Amino acid sequence: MNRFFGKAKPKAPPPSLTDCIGTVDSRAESIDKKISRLDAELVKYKDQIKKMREGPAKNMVKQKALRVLKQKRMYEQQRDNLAQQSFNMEQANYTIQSLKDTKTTVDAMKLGVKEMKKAYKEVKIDQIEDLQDQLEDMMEDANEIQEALGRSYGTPELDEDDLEAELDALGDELLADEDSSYLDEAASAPAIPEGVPTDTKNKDGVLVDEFGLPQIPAS
Amino acid sequence: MTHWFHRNPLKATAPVSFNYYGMITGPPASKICNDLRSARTRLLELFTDLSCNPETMKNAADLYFSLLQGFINSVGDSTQESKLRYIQNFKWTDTLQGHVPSAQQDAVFELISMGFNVALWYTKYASRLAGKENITEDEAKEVHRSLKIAAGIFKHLKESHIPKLLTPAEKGRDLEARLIDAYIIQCQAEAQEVTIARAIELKHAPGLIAALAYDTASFYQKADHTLSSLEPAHSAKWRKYLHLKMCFYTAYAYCYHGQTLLASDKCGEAIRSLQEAEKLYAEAEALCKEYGETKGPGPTAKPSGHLFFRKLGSLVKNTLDKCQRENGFIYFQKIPTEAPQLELKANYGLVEPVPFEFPPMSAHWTPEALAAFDLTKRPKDDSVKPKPEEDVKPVKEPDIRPQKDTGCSVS
Repeated sequence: MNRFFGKAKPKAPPPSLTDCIGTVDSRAESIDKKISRLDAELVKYKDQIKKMREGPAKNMVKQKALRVLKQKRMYEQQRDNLAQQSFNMEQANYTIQSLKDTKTTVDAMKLGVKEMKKAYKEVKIDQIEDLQDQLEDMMEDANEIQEALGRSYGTPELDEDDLEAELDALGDELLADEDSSYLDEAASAPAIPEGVPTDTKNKDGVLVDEFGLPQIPAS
Repeated sequence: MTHWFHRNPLKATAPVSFNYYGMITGPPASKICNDLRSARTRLLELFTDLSCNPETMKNAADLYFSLLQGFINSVGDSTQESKLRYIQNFKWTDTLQGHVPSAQQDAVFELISMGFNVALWYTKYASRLAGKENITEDEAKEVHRSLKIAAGIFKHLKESHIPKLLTPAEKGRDLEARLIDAYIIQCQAEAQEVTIARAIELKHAPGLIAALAYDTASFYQKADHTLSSLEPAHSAKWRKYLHLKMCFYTAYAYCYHGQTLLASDKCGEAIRSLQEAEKLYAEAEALCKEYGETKGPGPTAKPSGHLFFRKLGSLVKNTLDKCQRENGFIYFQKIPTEAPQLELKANYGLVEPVPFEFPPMSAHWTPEALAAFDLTKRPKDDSVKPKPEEDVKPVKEPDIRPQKDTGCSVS
């Protein structure tokens, strides 16, 4: 069968949305590079135009500049098209991801409800009420005991005015302790430690990590 | 980034009982012999134990080696040879020779062979760890460190202990200088692979990555060259792997060099560089097929299906497309017929083996313990009947777990 009809060629995996977005962004990036070069050319022409006197030569330079400008506009339009395409695909990706998240959330909530129902079977409201009543009774008993034990007796009579006066005097004593001499020591505080102790350097004095690569990506 | 490495099988050995009836005249000596037997058995078990980690391996290896030192160096004077060095026969197979063992009645042979196996274990541990789909930074460091340790062990054995053997190694045996050189270089190259992956993840300069990849490719080329005189039946598979990796990392070097050239507005040269990368990638792909079909020591694998391999393919294709597109409407440069010269000199990420030392002699070896070995007395069993020779049983290694996209198959 293979000899007569041949065999299907091995298929490459179908492109994913993420790969397409990357490709389109790469193309947009290339167009940006072209546009920046055209900009450089335009600046050159503009400088020439400034220096020249009116005449046919100046007009010719103007024409060149206008032609380049037209190209630039065209490329900008193309780039915007690509950006829009990329954005559309991003939105599609985002929507897909949102739908997946939604499904996950709904599944989780379903599971939650299921677990809740199961848990409810274990709970009896009557038993809980009985339990609460018992707790309430015990708390009341405890409170009565505390009140009985807490009664004062055999204490001398205290005048509230005297107490208030003494409280006012406390404030005066606290204020007398005001002392800010500790601030003078701030000037002699030790300096902040500098550098990371575990860093290593290679022979050129460049910080490198454990793989021998520069700490800051060299570029 | 995930990795794939070729691994040769572990060395197998005959069990050693360390029984010296009649020669042992005191409890310290018999305790040492018992400890040696159990430490050796334990260490051999760990080689095939998947749950073993570097700390466990180091502890078990140090225990055995510290006891074994008493059979090699004299107690108190490490420059003097021990009287026990030649009393025990050891049998070891080699990684490339199948099940045919070498035998030497020399404790140094045992030290070297067991050390060799410990180094092989480190490489296999690194291989298992690196083969995972989503390797973390700590795991990458562990792989990197394990490979450097293995390289250090191999280097130490080659420089300090193999020269002490009375009988030089035969051709194709593990202890031969060229073979052990290949192991050292392969470990360094593979550790640098981890560094390259890290550099790519951190988006380092393409020039740095290209230089590192080129250096790694030359490592593989050097390792392949050291094996050129070996019997093809034993080394062909391994050499295919080394050649494959050389093409692969040269392709990486050309690819990132192309990116460097593009950044310098040399688009024509960049295209030529990437075309060279494409060609080398295709070459590596063909070698993957050949590797899968070649018989020889090592597990069967289809590396071209592996994730680490396909990633470069996509990268080369995308970068080449980008360069061609830009040359078509920005640069309009001529594409040279000659591939650019890779005059790349790596300054970062180079791998050096970690210096390795065997542990010092165990404290159990006291002058009294050594004196308890009385070589003037004959073993009692001699007159009764000769003991049957212990057989070398093949080591049954655990397979690397089959994973999605690994391209490996259980053999």
